[in-house]
Amino acid sequence: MRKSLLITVAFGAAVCATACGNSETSEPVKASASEPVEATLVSSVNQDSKTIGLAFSYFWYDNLETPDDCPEGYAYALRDLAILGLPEEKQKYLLQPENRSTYYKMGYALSGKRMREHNGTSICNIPDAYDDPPLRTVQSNLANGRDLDGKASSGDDVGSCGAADFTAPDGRSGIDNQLYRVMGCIDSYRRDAEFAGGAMEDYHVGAYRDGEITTLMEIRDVDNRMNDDYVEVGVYSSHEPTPYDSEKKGIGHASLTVTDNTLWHNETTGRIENGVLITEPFDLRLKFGWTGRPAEYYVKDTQIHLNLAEDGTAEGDLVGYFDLQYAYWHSFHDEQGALQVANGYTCPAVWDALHKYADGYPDPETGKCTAISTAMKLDAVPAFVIHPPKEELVKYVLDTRDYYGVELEDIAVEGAELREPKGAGGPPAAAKSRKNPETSESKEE
Amino acid sequence: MSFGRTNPLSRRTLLRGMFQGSALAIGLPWLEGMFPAFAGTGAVRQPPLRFGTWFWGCGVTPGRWSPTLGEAGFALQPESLPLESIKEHLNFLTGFDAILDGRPNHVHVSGTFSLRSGIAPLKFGVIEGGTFETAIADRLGVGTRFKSLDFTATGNPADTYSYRSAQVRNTPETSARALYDRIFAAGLRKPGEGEFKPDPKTLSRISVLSAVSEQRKALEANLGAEDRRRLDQYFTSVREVEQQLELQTEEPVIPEACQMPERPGEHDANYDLANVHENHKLMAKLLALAMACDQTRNFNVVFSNSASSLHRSGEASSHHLYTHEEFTDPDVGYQIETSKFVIENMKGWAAFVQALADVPEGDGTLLDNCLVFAHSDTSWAKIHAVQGIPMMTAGRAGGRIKTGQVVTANGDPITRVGLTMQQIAGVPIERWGTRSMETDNSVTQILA
Repeated sequence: MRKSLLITVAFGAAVCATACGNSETSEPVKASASEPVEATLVSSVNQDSKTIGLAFSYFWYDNLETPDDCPEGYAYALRDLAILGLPEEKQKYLLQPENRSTYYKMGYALSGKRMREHNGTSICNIPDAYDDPPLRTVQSNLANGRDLDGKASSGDDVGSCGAADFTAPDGRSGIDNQLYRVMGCIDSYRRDAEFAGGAMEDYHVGAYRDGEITTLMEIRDVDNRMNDDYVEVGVYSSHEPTPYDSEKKGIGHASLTVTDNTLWHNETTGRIENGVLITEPFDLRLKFGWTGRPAEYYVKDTQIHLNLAEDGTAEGDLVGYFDLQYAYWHSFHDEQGALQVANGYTCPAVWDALHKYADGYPDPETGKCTAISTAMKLDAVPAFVIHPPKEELVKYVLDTRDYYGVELEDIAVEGAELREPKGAGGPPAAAKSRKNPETSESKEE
Repeated sequence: MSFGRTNPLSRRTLLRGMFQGSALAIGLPWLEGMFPAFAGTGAVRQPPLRFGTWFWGCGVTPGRWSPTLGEAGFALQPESLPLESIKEHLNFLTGFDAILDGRPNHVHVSGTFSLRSGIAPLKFGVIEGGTFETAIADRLGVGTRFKSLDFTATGNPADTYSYRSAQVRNTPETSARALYDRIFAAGLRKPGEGEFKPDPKTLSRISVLSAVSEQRKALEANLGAEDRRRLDQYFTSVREVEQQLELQTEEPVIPEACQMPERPGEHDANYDLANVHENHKLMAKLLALAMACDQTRNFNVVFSNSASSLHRSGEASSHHLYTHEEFTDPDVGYQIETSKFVIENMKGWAAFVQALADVPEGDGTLLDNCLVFAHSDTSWAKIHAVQGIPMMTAGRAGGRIKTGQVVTANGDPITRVGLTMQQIAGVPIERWGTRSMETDNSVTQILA
């Protein structure tokens, strides 16, 4: 049965999102400017429509948590490094509950010391300046995710750059999710940890909820919602907020406009099998700033599996190879160095681990992998996806050179203009490129 | 001079007079008498009201602050328990969100200024518009010596969240002695104390304004009720200027409820928790007396700053640092020390409300004629959440609002609250906020 929503449009402005276009009864309503008219707003769960609009309401790493993941313990925070060199008796003293006020402060003190040693540059901008103890990583062989390369790698093959695949809890082999190996023992990336437990998930999901991030999806040319051997799929950033209720659940059927920046427009094709959308691999770039950082989500060979529910909602997963630099910038980097302090890792240790476990897109010259496999869970609510007029479309990339301390070649995109990141704080007073030989020479041994 | 409905008043009418041999003229506001078709509606006047804000930093712990409402009233939670003695004066406003529309969540900034200015800042540290309480001060504060009295208990004059415009920040007093000197020492004396010498320049300004008084009376006698109200509003503002000037030229008349406090001694003013409590207590009392003496009808109070720097003497970590660094206790499921700081902030709020409730006024207390709006910069500071920022009101606003309510919004824009505060204070505004936070939906649940 057709589900449609009738509304009265006071002055004849036709309200119609993308779902309107392919139904006999969903022609845009014409009205004079002065006469109130009754318009038909086709619901975004219209079963007859050939277009399905969605807004992400949850999007976060599909991290498995078991007691066996981190036999060495969780990753060292900067404050842990600060007391490692102290006599054992002093360490015990600082870790007693009544003395933790000092212990808590020692991470910031060490971060400040390192910044002073590098003329005020965040250590996250020059992560190879210190040899921190190796990041404690997931040691089990179980992980959520999917097999991206069709191989169950033991780490010996050239293409995996030495990273051994996981097995899924349901027994599937060849699971590529090395980013989980890197972040799985950082306690802010786990929910069960005492220090900062769940903080990173709350940050990211919170950014969706407060409207800092919005991601839209459009499935077009849908002939049959259960089985269709060809559909077109678009994934877009938006600057308009997905509504949430007081229980922090996404509210469906909002009209949301796609960003004018075509860099964050992603198109692919796919199919629907038994109500599950499966996309062909595509490169995905999305605006993904949170708490003010000008971050991006850049995942190559992205595949989306999405269970399309009858009520218009959807849930599933997104897998692919996260570009190594973007993985670092998006999830770990911090211009001021405070994020690492408060969330249980150090930028140098994470930087090294990312490179150690990178398992995709080997550089043809060096053979080193330049991307790392990942898996994310996503929920979506129905939405009217509105596209801006073509004449308003632009293509730009955020000029984050100073923010991340990198060269133009690290961020440039062919055909895209450079734009100042909106809202980002100014660059560090003495920001220097990671490639600056002076900073490399100052690396502590 | 006669103005009847059949003989409309000219829009160019001026009130004319002579002063010190020179002609002077005062223009008139828009009056229905100038446009007869609009004449004839009745006038409604709002009773006097005080409005103020009270701010604390770093929010609350999820699940440990928001009260529930039962048959016996509020069921306070551990972090709101310090409010037990004043709960009859309170409303709790929960579930209102700052909605950023793709703008960054500048930590400890975006929440406060989405709430106060209705605009989520684009650039860190760049406020894009005035804050709503200044519009209220413009409305309520024209007849008092001070349009607004602001103080921070932290000793840092940068700790203020009241902006007259995007560029102009209101500077708070930072010590009880400075606040006392500003209110009571510089312009307000006990009757008979000291030799009083009015400033001749001030006298001349009053004479200019008084010169048209007879003509004004003639004008009022010939206007319809609505125009008389408009003219009254207009001349009320003129009179308020006169009154402010008169305060400087006459030995002050001190209201019955006004008590002259002793000048406080010097106290350390910094982020030390004990000092903050002490300074706040002293300044709250001075502010209450200043309002009892009708020296101001508006105020802004900061108990702890955004990203609270409060710390306990001898400890290395501040409240803010605890929010990010402290382990979640596995037995109780929350950050114990962080929660203690929230409780300290609530103790401060209780003390402030009590200071207003302690001042008798008419048949009730000063608090009864106040609307105090309290809020923080974030809800859960650990992740800088700007959804569900904790907010409260205290006082009955002279009978305009009821208390004892827990309003739970459904993720509505936080600007609904700022809009409501302005409307209660009589600011003629129907919509407020920008983008997704633009709203015309008042929080009617608290209206009397």
